[in-house]
Parts: sequence; structure tokens; C-alpha cells
Amino acid sequence: MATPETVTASEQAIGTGESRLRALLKKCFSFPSFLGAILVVANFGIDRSLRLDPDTWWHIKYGDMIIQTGHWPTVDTWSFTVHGMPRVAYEWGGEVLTALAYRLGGLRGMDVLLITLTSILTLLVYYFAWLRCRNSYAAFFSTFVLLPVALLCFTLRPQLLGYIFLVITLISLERFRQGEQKTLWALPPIFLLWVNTHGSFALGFMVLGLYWLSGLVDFTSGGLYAVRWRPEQRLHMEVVGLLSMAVLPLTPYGTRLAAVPLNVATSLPLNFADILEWQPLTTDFWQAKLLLVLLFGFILAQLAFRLRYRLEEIALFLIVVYASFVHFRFAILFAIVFAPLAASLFVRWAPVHNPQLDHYAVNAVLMFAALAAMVLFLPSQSRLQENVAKNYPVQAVRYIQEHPIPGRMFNDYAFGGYLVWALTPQRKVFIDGRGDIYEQAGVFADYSDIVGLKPDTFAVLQSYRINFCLVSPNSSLATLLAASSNWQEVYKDTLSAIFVRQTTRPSPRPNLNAARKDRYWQMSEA
Amino acid sequence: MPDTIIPVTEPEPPVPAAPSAGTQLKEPRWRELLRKISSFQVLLGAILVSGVFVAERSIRLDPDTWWHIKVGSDILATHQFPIADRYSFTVRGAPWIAYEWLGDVVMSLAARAGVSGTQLLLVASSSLITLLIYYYAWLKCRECKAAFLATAAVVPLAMLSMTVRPQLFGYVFLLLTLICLERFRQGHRGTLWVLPPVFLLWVNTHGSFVLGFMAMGLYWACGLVDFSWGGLHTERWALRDRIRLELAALICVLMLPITPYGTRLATVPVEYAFSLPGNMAHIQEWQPADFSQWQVKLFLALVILFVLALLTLRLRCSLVETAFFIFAVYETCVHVRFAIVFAIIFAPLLAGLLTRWIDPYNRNIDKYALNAVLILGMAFAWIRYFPSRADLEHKVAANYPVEAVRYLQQHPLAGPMLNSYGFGGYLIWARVPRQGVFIDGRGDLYERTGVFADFRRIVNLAPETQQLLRGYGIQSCLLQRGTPLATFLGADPHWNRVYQDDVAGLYVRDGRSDEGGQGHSRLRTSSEGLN
Repeated sequence: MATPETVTASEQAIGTGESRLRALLKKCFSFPSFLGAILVVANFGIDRSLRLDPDTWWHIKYGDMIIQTGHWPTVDTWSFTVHGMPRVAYEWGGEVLTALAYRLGGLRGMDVLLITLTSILTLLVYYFAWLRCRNSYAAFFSTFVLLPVALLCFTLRPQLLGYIFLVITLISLERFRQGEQKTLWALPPIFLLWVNTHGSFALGFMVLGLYWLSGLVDFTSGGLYAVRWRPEQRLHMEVVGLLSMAVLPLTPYGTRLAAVPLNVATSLPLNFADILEWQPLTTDFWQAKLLLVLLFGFILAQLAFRLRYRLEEIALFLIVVYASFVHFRFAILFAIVFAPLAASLFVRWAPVHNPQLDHYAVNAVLMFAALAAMVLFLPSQSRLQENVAKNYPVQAVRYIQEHPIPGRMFNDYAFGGYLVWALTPQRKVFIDGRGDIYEQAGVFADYSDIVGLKPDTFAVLQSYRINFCLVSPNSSLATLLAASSNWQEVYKDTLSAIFVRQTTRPSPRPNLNAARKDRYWQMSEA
Repeated sequence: MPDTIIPVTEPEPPVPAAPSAGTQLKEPRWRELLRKISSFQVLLGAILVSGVFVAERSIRLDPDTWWHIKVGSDILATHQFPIADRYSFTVRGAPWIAYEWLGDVVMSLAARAGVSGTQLLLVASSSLITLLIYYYAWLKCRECKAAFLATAAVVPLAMLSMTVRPQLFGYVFLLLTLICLERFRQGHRGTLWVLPPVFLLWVNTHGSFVLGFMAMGLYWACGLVDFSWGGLHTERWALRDRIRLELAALICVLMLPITPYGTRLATVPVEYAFSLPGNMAHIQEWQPADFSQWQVKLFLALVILFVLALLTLRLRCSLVETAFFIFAVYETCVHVRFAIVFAIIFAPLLAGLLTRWIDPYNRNIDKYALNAVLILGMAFAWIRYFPSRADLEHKVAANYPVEAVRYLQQHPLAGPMLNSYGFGGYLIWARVPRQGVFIDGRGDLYERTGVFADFRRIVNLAPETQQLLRGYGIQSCLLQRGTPLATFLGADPHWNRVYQDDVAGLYVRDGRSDEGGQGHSRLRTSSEGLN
């Protein structure tokens, strides 16, 4: 097995009496750092075209609202279907950051934010892998191989920050395991930021709990072993865990944010069934096949090399494998957790970095050149706008603004976030990516019935008093509306179409079930 | 030398000495046979069969079952093997062969006894597969209790594919092949000669014979070298054994052209694998495993369990076992129809693992009389609780357009009819409509001719739906209730819904509709439409 890289640049520098600054510079431009820069460049190459999620837009809207008003929203004001229903901005920290990026730099600002966050995440995973195997080549290679799996989730949303906090938590725990006691004190402030940023803080507690539990016993069974915490270590962990829990209520909403992960996990069956990111991993994606290949590689490695792992590493790995297959949004967790395991395997064949052979000047030049290239090749505002227009109904929104259509709008789910950002408060949406609120109100089920063209499609549209529909032109609903005598297509482009109701005589009262009757009359009176 | 995970078993207790030195008590053969039949191992097998019986009580018919039965009965009636389609109007006359003809004939013979006969065939085939998995697991670990538990754990996965189709027979042949190869590995050299007749039947029954060749190839390849690398090991074939295996494989290959269609059946798997992207993308059984299904979660849990066992117990696996395992896991994830292959491959691995914790079978404490009573009791229960014809027909009617077909038989419609994909097989079997179906489960045929792509556009209500319907001259549509196309037609004044039940709706084009095919028809909306 290759020996770990134990002679660091700083140790070298101390040995020769160099200044701290010089030692720091050597560290910054060492070969391992250069490898990190390659990862950042690779990430830039993939993310530079601003991969936006439909939800990004309403996140920006929330952030903007908070910045402008200085208040944190407590009810919905963007849709007419759930208007006034309780809804908190539980990812407000990430939303404010995204809104600031947009305010400062527009789409380019958002692109820079996305690249920065994903680069930080990539570098943290690289460092986490290095921490496990102490070999920069092995850590680099494992991170590079896993980057495509992580990329499935690299879109500009607060969850990206959540994953950064998760890796920081894992790094702190790993360093703590390796004897660096003070690292753990980073966790309470991390959790304070985390609970205000994204509901994935629950993962942080799961990880903390796993590490703590795994250190309660001492055993070795084949390739699996556990090392008991010393009493002071265990106490340290418990205090940090308690402090991390104590910061959970420190949010503008008190303890409500702490309850969000539980709500999402237990009371949104339709979201889990229908929203893409909660769907099971499908091997239609090549990244999923890559994940399988890596899993097989791990199995073969166990057979052939009889590797040894700590209990918490394996428990985390197996949990994450299960979670990744059942909900593909967790595939990024596989990349995070597997990188150190893969690195510990690759280390057998990886050379050891020798700082004495490092060419710091060359590394520095190359790294600055890479940075310059990234700045140079950062897409222009207009290029990003074109990209947005290819994926979101920009032209349709312009049409609506120039040709005001009275009455309520039904919209595709995927357009909802963009419409919230572009049209509210002047015009309210039918639905957007805030799946929790729409499911609680029953709107999500109605939406599914409409786009699924259930027999009562027209009745449901009428129960909401929909006057026009903004949908994908290739959708089955568009075909139905196009063929209807009561609906007229007034706008169409490659991405969206608008159909307006053409009723010239009062519609008879629709034949609705009881729940929809209530809603119909509530809206009539509103 | 057996090529297995090394089980932890205790040696069998010594057999009591003979009562006197001068005489040797030899049990009569019939008594020995009776003991075997009423042994604890057989009781465990009967329990497995009972489990399958309970799970399969409500007939699980695949939409394709029906056209398989029809093809088989036509072959029996005409003594001719089809070479062109005659069941649809969209691809009538297009080249098509009955490449699962032997399975079709067997299904057709069972169906002569009505739906009960088909149910019996399903239960019998599923039970046979389960027992073969049990035996295969036992062969690897030589411990019946571990084999039983392992089989019970994987059978839910296997059941995903246990519907009445020729592929069920294909899996029986796969198991026979694996069993023969394993027995050969364990020194039973004569077993190998079972394979050529198995492949002869197999190539005429189902395209899964390629899996058999793959298994043989893997066994052969893994025996070319000798190594032990950590927990991974393999043992080189003795020269004679390798030659025997190569000879057997060669004879199996020579079986492939012995079909009514010559060598054409042998090329079907290749054609399926490489030239049917539409089927692979859209037909449910070719879809990736859906990890929201509990059986697939069970699959995931078993894989995770295996990984954990590898780590903690330092398992030793042969190269061929490992290769099979990785292949089966990958294929199950990519195409859920291979979940049964995983079940077959994983059962012996799991059994080998379980032997560490299970007490070995002790024949000296076996209670043969009690076992016999229990086995007979179970057999009686299978007969007693076999679902009635009425129950089975009720189940069929709940899933297939039985009443709609009756309506069509009483009110024949002129002109081509579009049907839901899942109804196609049943309509072929029911010989309705006379002019043939629009589409059915013979996906290869429809994809080659472009009909499959058009069908998908129609049922997904692509913008050109109306033009496509007119292009095919469709005068009526028999659709699953609640589908988007049903809603669309239900709201179109140029289509009349003439029949509807819980399963299907029948829509007929209004004779006054625009014959020129220009412009869109205008739909009724909520007050006039369906609610």
C-alpha cells in the first residue's frame, strides 16, 4: 500500500525556516491544489451554462421579498389556488443568497454563484476523500469519477448549500475521529446556518448520530470494525450534538423550520409519487449506470483485497446506496459518501505526492490561467438569457404582459416557478414547485387530474374558473384544448402555448363532486 | 471439487450400527422411496409450493397471454407455422414468425380446459420454478433449511415475472441448465448431456436460450484459469471436463436450427437486443426497476445484505458466482424483467450464507409420518382451494374488455378499430374485431413497421392525433377507461361513446363527421363532456 502523504509543504517550510506567507503560498500552489483546480475547471465546463431548476425562480422571489420588505413571509401570496394559506420560506438563507446574486449580477451573477457553490462542494468532497486516504492522486481520481453522479443535483437551489454543510459536517467528524478535537466546535454554527438554509440539516443529525453510535462499541468482524470513543470524546460529541440541536429554534420562524423535514417525509405522498426528483433512480440515466458500476467495483474490491472499514463509514454507505436508488435526488449523497471509500481503494495504485518535486511556479501559472479562462469563458448575459428562453416561457410571459388576458391562469408545473418570478404579484399562478402547500390543499391532485386528462378535466378547470392556460404545446392537454370549441389558441412558440376560454354564453353550473363544489363556491365568493 | 461458498456445516451424526454382525437389514426400495418423498426436505418444498399457490391464486394474466394462446391454437388447428401476420389490420401480411411456438402450443393446450386450465398451468410452472430454485440452492449448500429460507426470500422477486407466458418455460430451462452445470462442476459428469435436449426445447419455446449459452460460457471461461485472490477464487477445469463442456456446448449450438423456421429463431434475441429501442424505452417489462415497488426494495435490501456479509464474514466466492451476481444485479436494475434471474442466481449465494447460522438437517430425527400427513394435507388444500372457474372469469373480466367484446360481437362495427395496447392480445384471442386489431403485444412487429411510434403519438395526444386517426381510417376505438384518449374522444362531438363499463369504453366515429379530413373537430366541454 502507498504511504500517505505526510510531508506537507508547511512542514517543509517550517523545517527550512521560511515565512508563514511563503508556506501558505506553497500550500496554495502545491500539486494537490493544482489537482483541485482541475476539478474546479471540469465542474465549470459542465455548469457554466447556468443549470436552473424550475424551482430556482420562486426561491429568488422569496429572497427578493425578504430583502425588500425586511419581513419573512408566513402565507402564500403568489397563487390563487392556495392564496392566504400558511407557508413559510424555510430555505430563506439560501433564497436570500440567490436573490443577492441576481441583484448584483443578473443571470451572470447567478451563474457565478452556481459555479462557486458547486466548486466548493467538489473541493470539499476532494478534501474529504484525501482525509481518508491521505493521497491526493487517489482523492482526485475518486472525486473526478464521481463528479458525473453528483452533477445530477447541481442546480441553483438552496439544497446545494445544504450539501456543502453536509460535507463540512462529515469532514469535521472525520477529523475528530482522527484526533483533531477542536474541529467539532464548527458544527453548532454550521447547523445554525443550515437550519435556516435547507431541510437537509436532518441528514447532518443522522450522520452525527451514526458516528456517535458507532463509537459506543469496540469490535472487529471480518473487514468491519468499530473503535470505541474515549469518555471525553463521547462527551464532547454529545455536547456538540446538544448545542447543534439548541440552535434549531434560532430562525425567524422559531421551531417551525426544524419540523419541516419530518413534514416533508411523512405527509406528501403525491409529491413523492409524481415529482421527478423524488422518483426512484432510473438506469435510463448513464450516471445511474455509472453508480452501479462503481458499486460493483466496490464489491469486487471487497472480495479481492479484503479491505477494512469503520462501522460508521459502511453504515453511511449502505444507507446512502438505498436512499439513492429509492429517491434519485440523493444520488449526490452517494458521490459524497463513496468518494473517500473509492479513494481508499485507489490508493493502492496511486503514486505518492512528493512536495520536493513540486513545481510551485508552474502550478501557480496554470491555476491562474485556468481562473482567467473561466472568467473569459463565463457566458455572457445574453447567452444566458438565450439559455433561459430555451427552457422557460420567456416569450409567452412577454405576450401575457403585452396582451393582458383577464381571469385566472392554469399553468404547467414546470413553468410555475418562472411565472412566480416573472408575473407575480400582478398575476397569480395555478401551481409551482412548492409542492408541499399544493398537496396539502388538494390542488396537486387536481392538477394531476387535469394534465392526466381524466374524464372530469374540463369540469376541474371550470371549478377553478380558469380563463386561460399556459402549457407545453406538445402536451396532451394542449391537444385537447386545441381541438375544443371553447378554447382558442392565441399564442404558440416551441416551448409554450396559450389557450383562452371562448365562452360566449354563461356556462351552466358544472357537475362537480362535493369537494370541488365547495372550492367553486369559495372562489366565486372571493 | 465443488465450486461454492464454503458452508459452515456440522458433520452428520453417525448412523447407528447394525443390530447384529451376521445379518444386514436392507430397507426395501419402496420404503426408501417413501422416506424420501415424506422427508423434511420435501415438506419444505411443499411449503414453498403452498406459498406460490396462495400468491398465484388469482390468475395473473399478462396482456400477451391471449395472443400466445391464439397462435398456439392456430398452429394446432392448421398444422402450419405462421410466417406473416394475420391478426392485425395495421401490419397484416408483414413477415412475422411464432418464435415462441412451442410455449404457445403448450399454453393453448392448457387453455382448452378454459381459464382453469390456464390457471393450473401458471401454478404448475411457478411451482416448478420455485422447486428448481430450492434444489439449485440446496445443491450449492447441501442444507435444506438454508435453501428453503433463501428460496422463500427471493420468490417475491421471481413472482414479478410469473405470468402465463412462454418466458416462464424459458426460466425452467435456465434453472435446469444451471443445475446441470453445477452438478457437472461437482463431479456428476453425465448430467451435462441433458443440456442438448433442453436447448432443443428451449430454442423453440423462448428467446431466453441465450441466457443458457451465457451461463455455459461463463462456467467455461471461469474454469480456464486457476487463482485465488483474497475471497475470489476459481479452479481450472480438468482437461477432460473442459472438452466435455465444449462438446456439450457445441451440440447445443447444433440444436438451434432444429426449428420449424430453421435458423431464424436463433437470431431473435439479437434482434430484440439491438433493434427495438421503442419497445425497450416504453414497454413496461423492459423498463428499469422501479424502486418504489416493495419487491424491488427487497432486491435492494438483499444486495445490501450481501455487501455487508462480504465485509463482515469475509465470504469466499467463486469467480463464476460473482460474475453471475454482478450480471443479475445490473440487468435487474436496467430491465425489471430480469428480477427473476437475480432470484435464481442469488438464492444459492444466500443459502450458502445462511448455513452459518442454521443447524443442519438431521435425518435421524425426521418425522416421516407427520411430514407425509402435512404434505398430503397441503396437496388436498391446493385442490380444495383451487379457484373456481367463476372466480377466475370474474378476475379476467375485471382486467380485460370481456363485456365490451360481447357488445362488439352483438353489434359488429364496420371499419378499422383502434384499441388500447393492453387489450390487443385479448382481442386477438376473442377474434374481435374481424378485420384485426390495431396493435397488440408483439412489439417487434409493430416497431419495425412504424405503427408502434404512431400508436404512442395517438395515446399521448400528440398534436397530430386527429390526423393519425384519420390516416389509419379509424372508425372506432376500444380504450381503457380513464385514459387521456378516452377523455379526448368523449368530448369530441364527432365521436360517440356507445359502450362503457368499469374496464373499457367504446367510441365510434359519427358518420356525419368531416370525410375530407380537413381541420380539427371541435370538442364539447364540461357541460356536454364526460363527468
